[in-house]
Formats: sequence, structure tokens, C-alpha cells
Amino acid sequence: MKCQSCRKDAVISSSEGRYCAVHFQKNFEDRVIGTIKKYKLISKGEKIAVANSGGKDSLSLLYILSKYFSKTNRIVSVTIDEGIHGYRNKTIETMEEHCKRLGIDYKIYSYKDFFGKPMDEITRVKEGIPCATCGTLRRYLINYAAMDVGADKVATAHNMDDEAESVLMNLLQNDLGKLLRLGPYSGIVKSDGFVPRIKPFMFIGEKETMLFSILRGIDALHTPCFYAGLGFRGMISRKVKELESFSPGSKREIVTKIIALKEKYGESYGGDAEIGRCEQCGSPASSRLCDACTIKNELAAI
Amino acid sequence: MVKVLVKNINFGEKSVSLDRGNVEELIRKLNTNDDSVILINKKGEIYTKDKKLSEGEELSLVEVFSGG
Repeated sequence: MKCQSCRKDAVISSSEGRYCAVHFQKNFEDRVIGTIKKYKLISKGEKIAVANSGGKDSLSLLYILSKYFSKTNRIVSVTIDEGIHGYRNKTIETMEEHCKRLGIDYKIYSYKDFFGKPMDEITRVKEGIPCATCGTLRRYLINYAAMDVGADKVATAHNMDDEAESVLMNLLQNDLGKLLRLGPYSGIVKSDGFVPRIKPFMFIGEKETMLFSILRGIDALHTPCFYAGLGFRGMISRKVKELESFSPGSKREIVTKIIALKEKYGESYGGDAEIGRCEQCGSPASSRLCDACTIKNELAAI
Repeated sequence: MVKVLVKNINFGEKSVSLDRGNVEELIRKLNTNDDSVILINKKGEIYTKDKKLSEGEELSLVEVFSGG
């Protein structure tokens, strides 16, 4: 198979095109910048916190934001250390190396410091699938971290696969509220204490991000989290990839449709609603306690 | 018929016999799909699914996974 731009051997063939290594990287960066411009994700002068796990996706995002925005914006890296031994400690080493190489300040926030226990211990003492608990705690801490470093926005490396999975999960769980909070610019509910989240990789497939990281020599650990795949998302993730292979372009269709739906109905579904405060930590919350404090209290009682 | 050796961080090494001898057939025989894997030869070249494989060729299979 040949590159559609130069006729050299292609390294990828997908619904997004057929490209050699050089033209794939150019197309990848162009599409990320295109998403940022189209959805006005970053304005000049804003401080952007990159949620950086040290994995392939976030290191690729850090590289691109550093390359294109370091002259007009301040880029900082924030990392959540869930406390998964043999996994997160390794990706943190990689994160530190990359931040130092790119000259980007970084800060690490751990579950142990904020919630009293690392994830390895939480999985032992708390019943249920670890990903659900971990996701809640991580979202809380990413927002806290972004506030702590004074960021205007927090950029996450959620890609088209992640977004398509979230759409299907929320549809199957009949959660229209969460469904309409998806999109390149997260959050339709206005609230102080919430740093808007942006997803510049929203129209980039997971395979493309992995390929980009390999071609760029981003030496990320190419294994998933030990606990990944146990949850509902793991099952949906496998199905989304099967669907894309069977019917190329499916992921983009899913993601594009949900953005159109959000643009049409998002505001009428809570867009102007003011949200309350958690009695314990003061974070935005839809009930008396935020989900993270509820989990924190449960863990303290075990 | 060609036989190739596939290396992977999770399953170690697997020898796979192929009739048509291309990457697409290999992926199918490994019970996965094109969107879930990247195949790289010993020289670091990345293969697309139409690539014809040679007898005895060694490939690394990198699984595409979520997150990091």
C-alpha cells in the first residue's frame, strides 16, 4: 500500500487516509491543530495544564502542545499517581524525562496523599470494579491539580476511541446527562471551581496515537494499566475496535453525531444550570457530597 | 504457505502458518483486528494489512490499548 501523498510505502491505512511515516506525522499534527482551531480550544495567553500520565497519548499531546503553543501559551504538566506499583511508577519516570527534555514544569498529585490509600490498596479493600472508583478519583484530582497550578484549561489526551466508547457506554447506561457532557470541550454545566477540559485528540484514533508515539520515538510503556479491561469500558473498547475494522469510519461517525446532538440539545439539558458545592471539600457537586469525598469517606471507614 | 514468528509482550512468541501470506490473514489468525494492533518487522518497518510476508519472517505485534 502506498502513501496517498508521496507514493512511498504506507505505515497506516484507515478511513483517515493512507500515509507514509513522514506524511502520517504531518497529517496527525495538522488534524490536532485543526481540532484546536475549529472548536477554539486554546486562546492566546491561556495557561494550559496537560493531564500527563507518562503514557503514549499524553506524551504525544505534550509534545504537540509544546511544539505549537509554548510561544503563545504557558504549558504545564500535571500527573496523577494512582499508586499502581510496577506500572504508574514506571510511566512517571518517563513523564519526568519528557518534561525535562521539553523544558516543561510538572507536578505530581497522589491518591495516597489525597485519599489516604494508593489504588493497589483500594482494589484490595473496596468491592467492585476498580476502574469506576479510579476514574472518579482521577477526574477529581485532575481538576484539583489544574486549579492548583492556576490553569485556565486542562488538556487531556482522550482520543476518538475513548470518546466513541464513552458515547456507547452512556447510551447503554441511559445517561443522557453524561452523554451531552462529551465533546472536545467538556462540561455544559457552568461552575466556579471547575477547570474546563479540552480534548485536542478527539478526532485521532488510538492506533494513530500509538503509531505517532512509536514514530516520534516517544518511549512510553506499551502496556495498559493492570486493572484495565476488567470494567465495562474494557469490553466496549474491544467492540469499538472490532466495529472500526469491520466498518472503517464508524468511530468518527459516532463522535461526530454526538457533537451535533450536543450542539442542538446541550444547552437545554442543563447548560445554564448552576451546580452546588460539596460540603466536605467545596468542589462542584450535584449532591451534598461530591463522588470523590463519598469514596474517600468509604475508604477511611474500611 | 509461509510460516512467520510473531513476538508480543503478553503472549511471548507464536509461530503462525499462513495460506495467502499477508498481514491481514495473520491478524485474523491471531484472533484480533487491524484497529487493535501494529505490526513491526525486525528492521523497524511498520506493515499495513496488505503487506506480503516472507517465509521465516519475525514480527513484533504491538497491541493498541487505551490510556497510559
